[in-house]
Amino acid sequence: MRDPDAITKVVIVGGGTAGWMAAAALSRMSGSGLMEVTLVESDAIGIVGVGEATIPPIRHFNEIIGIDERDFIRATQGAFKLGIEFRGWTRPGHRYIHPFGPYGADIGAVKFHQHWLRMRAVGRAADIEDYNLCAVASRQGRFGPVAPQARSPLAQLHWAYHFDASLYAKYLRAFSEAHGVVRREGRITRVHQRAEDGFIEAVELESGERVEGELFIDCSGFRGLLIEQTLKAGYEDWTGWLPCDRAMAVPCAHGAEGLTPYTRSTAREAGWQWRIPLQHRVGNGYVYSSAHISDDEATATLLASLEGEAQADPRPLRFTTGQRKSAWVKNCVALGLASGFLEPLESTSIHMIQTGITRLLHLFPDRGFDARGIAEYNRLTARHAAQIRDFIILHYHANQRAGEPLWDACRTMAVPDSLQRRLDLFRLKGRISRDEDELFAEPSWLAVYLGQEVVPEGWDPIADAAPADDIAAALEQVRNAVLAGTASMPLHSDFIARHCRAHAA
Amino acid sequence: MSAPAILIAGGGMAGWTTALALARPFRGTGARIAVIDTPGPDVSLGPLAPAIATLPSAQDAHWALGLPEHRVVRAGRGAYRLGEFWRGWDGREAAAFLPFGEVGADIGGVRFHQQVARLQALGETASLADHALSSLAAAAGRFAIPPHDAADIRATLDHGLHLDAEALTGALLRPVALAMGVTRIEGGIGEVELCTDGLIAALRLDDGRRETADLFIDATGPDARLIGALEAAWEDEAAWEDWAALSPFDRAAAVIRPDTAEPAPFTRDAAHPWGWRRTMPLNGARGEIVMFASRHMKDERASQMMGGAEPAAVTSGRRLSPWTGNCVAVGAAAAIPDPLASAELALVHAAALRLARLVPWPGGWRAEAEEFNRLWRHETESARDFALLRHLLNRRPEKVWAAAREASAPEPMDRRLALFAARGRIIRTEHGLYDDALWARAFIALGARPRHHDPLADGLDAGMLKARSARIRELAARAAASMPRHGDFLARVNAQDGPR
Repeated sequence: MRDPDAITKVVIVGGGTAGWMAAAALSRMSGSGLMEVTLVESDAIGIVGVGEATIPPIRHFNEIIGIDERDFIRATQGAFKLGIEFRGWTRPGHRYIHPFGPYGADIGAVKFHQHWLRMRAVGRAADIEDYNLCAVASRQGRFGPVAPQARSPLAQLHWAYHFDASLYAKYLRAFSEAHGVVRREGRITRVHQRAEDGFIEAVELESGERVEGELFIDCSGFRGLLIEQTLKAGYEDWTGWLPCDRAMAVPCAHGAEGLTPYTRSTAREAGWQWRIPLQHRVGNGYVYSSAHISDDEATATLLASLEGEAQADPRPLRFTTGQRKSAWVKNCVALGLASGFLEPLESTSIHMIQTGITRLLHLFPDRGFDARGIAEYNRLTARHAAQIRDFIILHYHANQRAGEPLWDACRTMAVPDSLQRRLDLFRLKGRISRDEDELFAEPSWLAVYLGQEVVPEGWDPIADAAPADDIAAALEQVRNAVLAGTASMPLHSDFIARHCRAHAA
Repeated sequence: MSAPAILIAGGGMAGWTTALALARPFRGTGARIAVIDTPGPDVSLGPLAPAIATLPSAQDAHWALGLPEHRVVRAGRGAYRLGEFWRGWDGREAAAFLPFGEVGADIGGVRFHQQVARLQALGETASLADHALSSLAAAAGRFAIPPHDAADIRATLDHGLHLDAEALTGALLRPVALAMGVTRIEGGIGEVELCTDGLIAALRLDDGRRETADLFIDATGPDARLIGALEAAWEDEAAWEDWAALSPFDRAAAVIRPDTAEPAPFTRDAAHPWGWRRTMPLNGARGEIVMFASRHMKDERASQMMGGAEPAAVTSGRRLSPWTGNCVAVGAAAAIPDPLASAELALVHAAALRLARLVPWPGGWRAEAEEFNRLWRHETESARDFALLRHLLNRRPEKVWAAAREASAPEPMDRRLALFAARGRIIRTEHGLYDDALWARAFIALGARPRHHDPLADGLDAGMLKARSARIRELAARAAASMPRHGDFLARVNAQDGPR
């Protein structure tokens, strides 16, 4: 039985990472003949590939659409990632890792880190990173399965990827087209709206061709061709908390450091610099606040710090951190940069596209476009973005870089109430407040609190229950399991060479 | 570090559960945990809770409290429940089963209930509950504990319990807490002494003794002796939110009566012209609750029906901030959910176990209280709405039921109803007591039929869906037939460790 209200024509506007991820996810419907999915992109408009570093949930997305991991790594010059190293964020010279996966394991009702806080106060605990497999493996440059004899619940590997986003888009395009998604090349010159209610009817290409649809997915990037320029969704500006508004990006040749299995973020006077190692090159970029440094100075700082020869001219990006007030308006859903921008400090750009798609599939409309479904989508989208925003603000806020204007301002600013509440709770006894469906789990908050030296005044009183010697021994057991697990893993570069060396560039 | 002194006022199920939740993790820290064990019947979970039905989450909570489930069942004259039989809510006498546990499996983000809806659109007649092992086992009076082997369809089973609250408290909760070092103070509660800053300074017992503590737990039931005394100082913060306007049923009575029949492994809820009646089989007894509209039935008639139990006014509602100052309310002092939500014990468990992880002494309490109350609001909201669903979606002809349908749905409920009506979609309830799948089953058990199923389900191969559906039903039917009778299972549980 066909549903007379079912959406039968979807048009995706823009073919970057967001557009092709949406196409790949919808291709199950196009493949079974229920829906025409058309993607319009212009060869003349470039892709903004800020999302080259990812977080573990991307594996779920790839699995659902049926992507083979090693094939995908080979096709995208990809590499593996176990976390992010933050250099100089707390203060110059300081560094810490925000690793994937947990630290140790809870003992009874008591969180592992509560035992650690107690033991640390009496000098009987090692660095918190020693209790996390991904952190230790990052330091040692390792990636790969833990050998059978070293396997332990305390040594579980969690990973994500670094890859070339334009190659990922190309990979997803091949996949989507094979499953019935139709690509139309051309620049959009006009958007047609229904006279009676402003719903989008069609986009018109330079050639005069009209591409009609019932549901439009705006993946047109920052400008938001449909969601903003046409439907005036409005924008909520977050630059009061996250003042960086520009980035300069440049790839370079590999230097001595090689294929490290983690992203690096190095704090700079007016922002921070990323390092994303791929197989064939290293991606670099300086995210900065134009109020605190000129474009030329930022470019010079970036180029002076490259580990190898620059492989292109530095490419400037401008953005306003914030979110569309409504990511879904009428019959248009915005994904990726069209829905808002959060700097890629925690590698969340691609993830936000992914969750947008998942939410859209969960609340997939019919031609009636019920306002309550749309409201629910917008509510969840806004919540998700605000949670990630708070996590990013925490990095900037809890700094000790005294004397640098950007950092002084961030340290002394009033943070959102939703973050202040979490900080208050952590500062007292190291307790971590978290929302149920929130992206960043307790270990992530812990990594950044401790890394940024938000030090609790005490610890949970129930951590005092067990004898100190027992707890010290339990901590040592975790540390040894992590050491043994890591030691049994291959080097990341060897793993790539053996299993997923990229096709020649 | 110096350890806190915590005083729990009220020795019913809520008080002793909280004592246990605190005593275990604090054992060895020097913390002082004391319970003022007040005389009289236990109203700590409210006036309608001599017998209670628990949600499957009680298994984890009992584990966290160090109470093996078979001991809970034995001590509480307990029986297992695989779900709930709902009869009469549709205005005819059709029965529907709300199964706990897992039913079928999602495919690539398409929920199982959407797959079944697609199959029904293709002319298949099997219902969602026909795919649930819990449902088939319940109908056959059978029960089993799920095995660890995930490949075995019996691993999809899950269960709650029916419990006699006073029996459980007396035979298990209190003795275990005492063995953990909790101090028992016998006496009634007299005056609550307040400081000028709105904190509790001490409690006076009715014999004049004075008890002080860092943190006071109010487990005194609907009287809310402690937090009630704070209302004046804290105004809206500590006040009670009344849910009476959500329901036309204003009177209720509850009772436990002897019953020697083999206990059915489910709760039976029946809607009647005057209201509804819940039956909870226990071991050798049954708990019953009736809730009714005083305009449609006299108290005398209800009392007759309930073996002489006296009806009283319904007082459902909650506090938005059960943790106020140095006082934390638990049980009926904090919320009285509609019994149809089966949430009384789940709310106590959630509050008590969370409190154990948030005890603020030494130090301030504001950040902890805010976190505690924030999660509490989600939990109580889900309980309110889950029960409300049976009011809003009933299709009975009587005026009082029409009034129940017309109660204005609070904000998230309105969206939830609209999204289910359109495409059978469930919206997430953050920190709620019921998972998405159970919400979907509740809608379906009430006969709600979306205008159309999820279009993504149309992307799945029909032949594959049919084959899977048939396979699941076949496995479930075979497994149900192999399970022991509930009565036999209970007899074995009660015989372990010899007779008591």
